[in-house]
Amino acid sequence: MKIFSLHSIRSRLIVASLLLLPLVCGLLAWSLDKAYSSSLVNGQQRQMMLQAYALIAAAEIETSTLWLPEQMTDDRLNQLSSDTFAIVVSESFDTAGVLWQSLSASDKLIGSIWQGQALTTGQSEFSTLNIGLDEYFVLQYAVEWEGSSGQIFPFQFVVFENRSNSNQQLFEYRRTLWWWLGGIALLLMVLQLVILRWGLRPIRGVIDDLFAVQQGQSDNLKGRYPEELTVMTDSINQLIQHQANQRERYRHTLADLAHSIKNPVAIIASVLEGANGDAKQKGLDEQTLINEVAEQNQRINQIVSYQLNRAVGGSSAPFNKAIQVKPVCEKIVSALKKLYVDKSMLVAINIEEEANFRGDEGDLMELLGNLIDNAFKYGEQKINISAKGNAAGLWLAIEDNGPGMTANEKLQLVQRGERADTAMPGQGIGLAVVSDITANYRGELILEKSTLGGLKVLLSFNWKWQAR
Amino acid sequence: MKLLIVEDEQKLRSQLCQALEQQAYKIEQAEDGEEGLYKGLEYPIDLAIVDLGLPKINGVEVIKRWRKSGIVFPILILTARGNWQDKVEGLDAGADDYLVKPFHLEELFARVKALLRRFGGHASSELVFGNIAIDLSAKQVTLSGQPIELTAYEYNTLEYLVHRSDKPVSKTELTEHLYDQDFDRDSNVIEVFIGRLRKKLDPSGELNPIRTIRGQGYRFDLKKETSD
Repeated sequence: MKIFSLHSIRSRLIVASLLLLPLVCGLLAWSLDKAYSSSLVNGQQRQMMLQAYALIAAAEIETSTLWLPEQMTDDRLNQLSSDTFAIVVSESFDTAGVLWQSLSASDKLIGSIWQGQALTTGQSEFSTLNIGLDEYFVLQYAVEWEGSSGQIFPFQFVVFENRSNSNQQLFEYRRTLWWWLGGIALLLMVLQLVILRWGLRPIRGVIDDLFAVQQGQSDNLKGRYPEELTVMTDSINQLIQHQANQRERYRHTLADLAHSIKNPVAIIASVLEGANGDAKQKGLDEQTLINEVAEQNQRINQIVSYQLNRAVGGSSAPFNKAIQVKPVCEKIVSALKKLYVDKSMLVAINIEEEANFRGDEGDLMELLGNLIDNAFKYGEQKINISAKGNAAGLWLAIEDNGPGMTANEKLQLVQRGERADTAMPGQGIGLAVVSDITANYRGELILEKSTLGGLKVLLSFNWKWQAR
Repeated sequence: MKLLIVEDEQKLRSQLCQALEQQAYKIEQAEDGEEGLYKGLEYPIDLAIVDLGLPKINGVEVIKRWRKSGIVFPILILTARGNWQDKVEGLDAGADDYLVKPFHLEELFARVKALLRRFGGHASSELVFGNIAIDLSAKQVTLSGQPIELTAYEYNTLEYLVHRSDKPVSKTELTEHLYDQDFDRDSNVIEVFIGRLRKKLDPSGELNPIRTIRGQGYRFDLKKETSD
C-alpha cells in the first residue's frame, strides 16, 4: 500500500514545505552569521584603535627617546599572560625596532617574531597574526612626532588582541541563533500543517458529502463551500439533479406506460374471452373481433412509441456541448424533401449561425424532425423555418400554410402529461413528443397562427436559467 | 416488378414475401446485409425493402454501397427505431422512404406503389393516355371508362412498360423483372402477353400503344395526359 503519494495535494504541500523551510532557515542563519561576524570584527577594530590612541596620548619624546609610563591606564596591558598587549616600533624596523612593549607583552617574545609592514603617516592596518597556537587581531597605526630640535620621529603603535574572546562571542551567538531558528522552523512547520489541514478541510468536506450522496444519506452536496470550490460543487449538484430527473422521468414513463397499456390489454382480453365463449351471444362477429383487436394493437403500438420517445428524450445536462441548429435542420429538410417529393414544398430556412442547442443531438433531431415533418405533412406549399440564438438562449419558429389548429386542439396538446392513448390523431403524437422534450429542457412551446396561414410553432430555451 | 426484401427476422421476411407476392410482385429475399448487398448489385431489382438492423453488414452500409456502385432503384427502409436520427441517417445514405415497425401491410403496399410510381417519373397514381387510364394504386386499367380484365402478369407487363416508357424494354429485361429466376427465358410467353395486351387495350388496332422496336424490344408509345 502506498502510504505517501505525490498524487495527493496534502503530500505535495508537505513535501514542498519540508524542502523550503530548511532552505529558508539556512539562508537566514548564514546571512545573520555574516552580519554578526562582520560587526564583531568592526567593533574589535574600533576598540583597538581607541587603545592605540590612548597609547599615543600617554607617549612622550624626551631627548630623542620615546617614553611611556610603566603602568598603563588599561589594566589589561599591565598584566602578564593578558590577551591584550601593545608595542611601539620605529618605522625603520631595525634590530632595535621595538621601542616599547607593554608589561603584558613580556612573555610573548614579540620582538623576535614581529614583522610589521611599512605604513604612511596617519595610516592604520588591521590584520591577524598567529602567535604560537593563538590567533591575534593586530592593529598598526603609523605616526610622526617632531622633537624639540625639530627632528621628525616616525613610530608605529601596534595593539594585539587575542581572537579567542571574539571567537567565543561568535560561538555563543551562533548557538543562540541556531536554537532560535530551530525553534522557529519547528513552530512554522507545525503552523504549516495546521494551515494545510485548515485549508484542505473544505475539500475533505466535499469528499465526505459526496460519500454521503453515494451512500444515499443525502440528495446533493449541502455544505457551504469556499468560492473556489462552488463552481465544482454546483456542477456536481447539477449532475446529481440531472440524474435524479432522468430517473424520475423513467419512473413516470414506465408508470404511464403500464397504466396506458392496461386499458387496451383489458379490452383485448375481454374481446378474446368473448370470442372464446359466447361471442355470437354477445353479438360479436369475426370481423368485429379482428377490428377490435387490430384497433387495440395500434393503440398499444402508439403508446409504446410515444412513451419510448419520452423516456429516451434527454434533458439539459450541465456539460452539454452546443450543437449548431442550422446543419441539423438542413439535413432533416433534405431528408423530408425526399419523402414529400410529390408536394414540391418551398422551404425557407433562416437560421443564424449562433443558434445553438445545448443538449443532446438526438433530442434536437426529434424536435426539428417532428415539427418539420408536421409542416411538410400539413403545409400546402410553404414552410418557414427560422432560428436565432446567443449564449443566453435559443428561439426556434417553424410555420406552414396548412389548415393550422383550433384553439381546443392547441389546448389539448400542450397539457402536460397528455398520453398517447388520449392524444388526438394527426399532429398529436409528434407535437406531444416535442412538448415533452421542450419541457425536459425547461423550454417553452407556443402554438400560434402563422402569417402564412397555418400553424406556427415557437420554441424557446433559456440556457442561463437552466444553468442555475 | 421485382422487389428485394432484406430482413433478418425470418418470420417477418416470409410474411412480407407472401403478402407482396399476393400483390403480384416478384420477390428476391436476403437474410443478412452481405446477401442483400450481393443481390442488389447482381439481380434485376426494381425496389428494395431493407431492414436497418441487419447482421454482417448493417442496412445503412448496404444502402451506401449500392448507391456508391450506381444502383438507382428506390429503397424503402424498415426500422424498429422510430427516432429521427435513424430516419435521417437512412435517408441520407440514399434511401427514399422509411417505415417504422410494426406497420400495417396496407401502408407498406402504398409506400411501395408510391416509390415505384415516383421512380417511373409519375407524380400521380392516375395515368391517362387518351382513352386508356391506369390506376396504379388500384392496379386497374380502363378503356373509355370501362374496366379491362387483365391477368396479374398482363397488368405487371403493362405497368413495367409504362414506368419505362422513355426507352425500349427488351424481352430479357421484362422476363427478369416480372418472372421468377427459374422462368424459362426461351419461351414465347412474353410475346403472348404483349399480343393479348394489345388486343385488350386497342381492340380496333388504331392506337398501337405497345410498339415493337426491331432488335430492341417493346415500348409503351402513348403520351400521358395528366400533368405531373
